[in-house]
Amino acid sequence: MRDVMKSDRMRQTPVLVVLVVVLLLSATALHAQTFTVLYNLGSVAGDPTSPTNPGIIAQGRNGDCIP
Amino acid sequence: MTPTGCGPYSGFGTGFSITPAGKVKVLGCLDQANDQGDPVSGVTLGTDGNFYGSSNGGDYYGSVWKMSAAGKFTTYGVFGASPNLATPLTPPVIGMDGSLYGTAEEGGTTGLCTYGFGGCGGVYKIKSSGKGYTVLYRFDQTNGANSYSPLLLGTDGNFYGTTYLGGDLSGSFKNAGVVFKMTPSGEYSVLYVFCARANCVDGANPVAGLTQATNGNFYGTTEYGGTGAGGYPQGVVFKLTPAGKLTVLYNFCSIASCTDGANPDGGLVQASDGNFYGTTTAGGTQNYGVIFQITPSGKYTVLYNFDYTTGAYPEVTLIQHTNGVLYGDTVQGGPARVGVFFSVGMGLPPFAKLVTWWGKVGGTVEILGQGFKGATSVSFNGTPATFKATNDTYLTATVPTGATSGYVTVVTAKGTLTSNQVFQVQ
Repeated sequence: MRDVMKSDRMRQTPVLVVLVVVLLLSATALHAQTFTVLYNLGSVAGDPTSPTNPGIIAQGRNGDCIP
Repeated sequence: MTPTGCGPYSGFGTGFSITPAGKVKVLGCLDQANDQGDPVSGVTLGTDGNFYGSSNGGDYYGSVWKMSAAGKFTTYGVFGASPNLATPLTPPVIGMDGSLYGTAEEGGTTGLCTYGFGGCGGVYKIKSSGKGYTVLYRFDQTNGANSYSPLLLGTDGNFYGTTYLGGDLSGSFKNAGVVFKMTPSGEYSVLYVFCARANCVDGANPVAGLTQATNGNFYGTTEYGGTGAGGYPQGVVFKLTPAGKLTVLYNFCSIASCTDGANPDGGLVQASDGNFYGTTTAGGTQNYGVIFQITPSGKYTVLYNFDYTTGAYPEVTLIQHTNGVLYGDTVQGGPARVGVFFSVGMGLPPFAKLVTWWGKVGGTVEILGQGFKGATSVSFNGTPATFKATNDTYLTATVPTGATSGYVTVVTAKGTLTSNQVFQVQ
């Protein structure tokens, strides 16, 4: 019985390998979408705070964003 | 642009910039004394390098102003009591004639929409000279009222926008807003009236403006309406053809507890992969809003759930920077509870962005991107052009003789950047 189980496990090994590869690929795909907090508003005195309303964030000539 | 900031004693608003790496620089403070107080949202980059925005004015009627890259504010147009317009909530946009066009939430026709300053708002124009504020159109409630959104310059040279209220006023679930079209001379027409279908399954009350996709159709969001759960449907993503045929692409709150997002205030941006990206102010696994992706055919995916520590209640319409990354902000959340500025990388490559996507042969076109200092060529639909790179992220090119309408390409040391818009040779 033990040998039979071992044999079954060996047959399952390629399946497990495929699953691991699929999971790794999925993780890589999810990794492609990266959320990052770039700045916490209100960190220092005089900081801008609470940007509201769906307006336009501009990109300036120098490459900066102007929210 | 934020409505507060610049210190505890001058909280009339802050103009600031943020680098793609997240370094914030306060450019300047707005001044209530010059009608610049309380800006609500964003700016438009002008062809002169200045930024143009608006303030709702707080207790005053509001103004349109320009801000230099160094942060100096100049009032450009001041609003007033009806029949003037009042309370502009979003920045103006540049028309093909070089003038500025924008919406105001209030003012206009007296006796209608009697809350606030009264009037249902309208559309204004300010000539490129900075003089000559003109009311182009006053909403009359039945064809729209109270626009909260910026105009969109369509590829046909006309303007497209939304109003939050107005339209069909005949039922309890009416007054749900419209999509409108307006020519530069002010000829106005309604493209679509929300809540045209039973129970407002077609959406209601758009806060945000429209985006025009590469296929020519318009895409947007509504804050309410749709078929989502919760007793009061929580908004939709819609597609609208230029002829006015509306299709709902996604109903928010389609999943239990609205974990897919609810009540979008922000609009959509079509990124360089052809998909649309947006935010919702509510819903998500923590009910602090989400960032989502939706394909042109309506396949919807939540990309990120805000959890307050990383931001909460985003109202923003995302921008795709020419480095390919999406950027946005939130109203609340973060350590100081007053919002964060964030990025979302989708692995999309850099591209070129045209400040204006129209012009005549011999005219100057401004292009944003990166790696421009090492640029070796600029072409308009394959026709080489002369150009000058002012810095690594900005260059000007001359529309060459023989150029035809098409994409603009810039060859840099790190690869070829293609414009995300078709340049139209006039």
